[in-house]
Amino acid sequence: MTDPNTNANPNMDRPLDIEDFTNMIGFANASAALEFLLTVKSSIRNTAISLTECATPQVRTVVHNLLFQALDMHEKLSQLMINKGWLHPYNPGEQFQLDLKSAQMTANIAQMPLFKDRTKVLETFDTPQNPN
Amino acid sequence: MQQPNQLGAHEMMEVHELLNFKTISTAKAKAIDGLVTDKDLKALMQQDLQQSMQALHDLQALLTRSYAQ
Repeated sequence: MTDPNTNANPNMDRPLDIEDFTNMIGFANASAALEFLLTVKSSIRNTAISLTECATPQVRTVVHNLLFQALDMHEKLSQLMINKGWLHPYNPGEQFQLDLKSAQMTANIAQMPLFKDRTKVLETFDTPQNPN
Repeated sequence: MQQPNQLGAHEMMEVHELLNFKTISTAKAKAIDGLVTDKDLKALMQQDLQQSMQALHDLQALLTRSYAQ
């Protein structure tokens, strides 16, 4: 959500980064790790499916290496997330609670007018800019 | 008989898709890197970034060699 016409504090009238956001740094790390994990998982699926369509040895070698790198990365990353308490594969109840909490928090952040409308930025240049 | 140096049309599509996927995930990883303060996570992301750059290089090499035929 963007608010084009204001320079006001994006968090409405409440101060930034006090009570609501004391754990913002931990939350950012956990979210970044989850995004990384999802990307690695997609990468594993994409490369595995691609490999079933490839015949040329050089292509197979490259795609095969990508697949195994991604599998190694998934192992290391999921272990790290378990150690940090961001992932609870043996405790689905706790995982659900955690995910619901971050979903709610992310939904709240998405409500905030954090950024100015970037589509208006081009109008502020003296020389015409091509948006494409 | 197909030349060993030439990729099949479907293979080129697969490699192309993987290249696009890797390109965007590398860009995203680089952008998200700025949010991360955890040292262990940062180290893992750096390692992934290095691997991604190598992967982009390898995939590009496959495609350009194929276009050159």
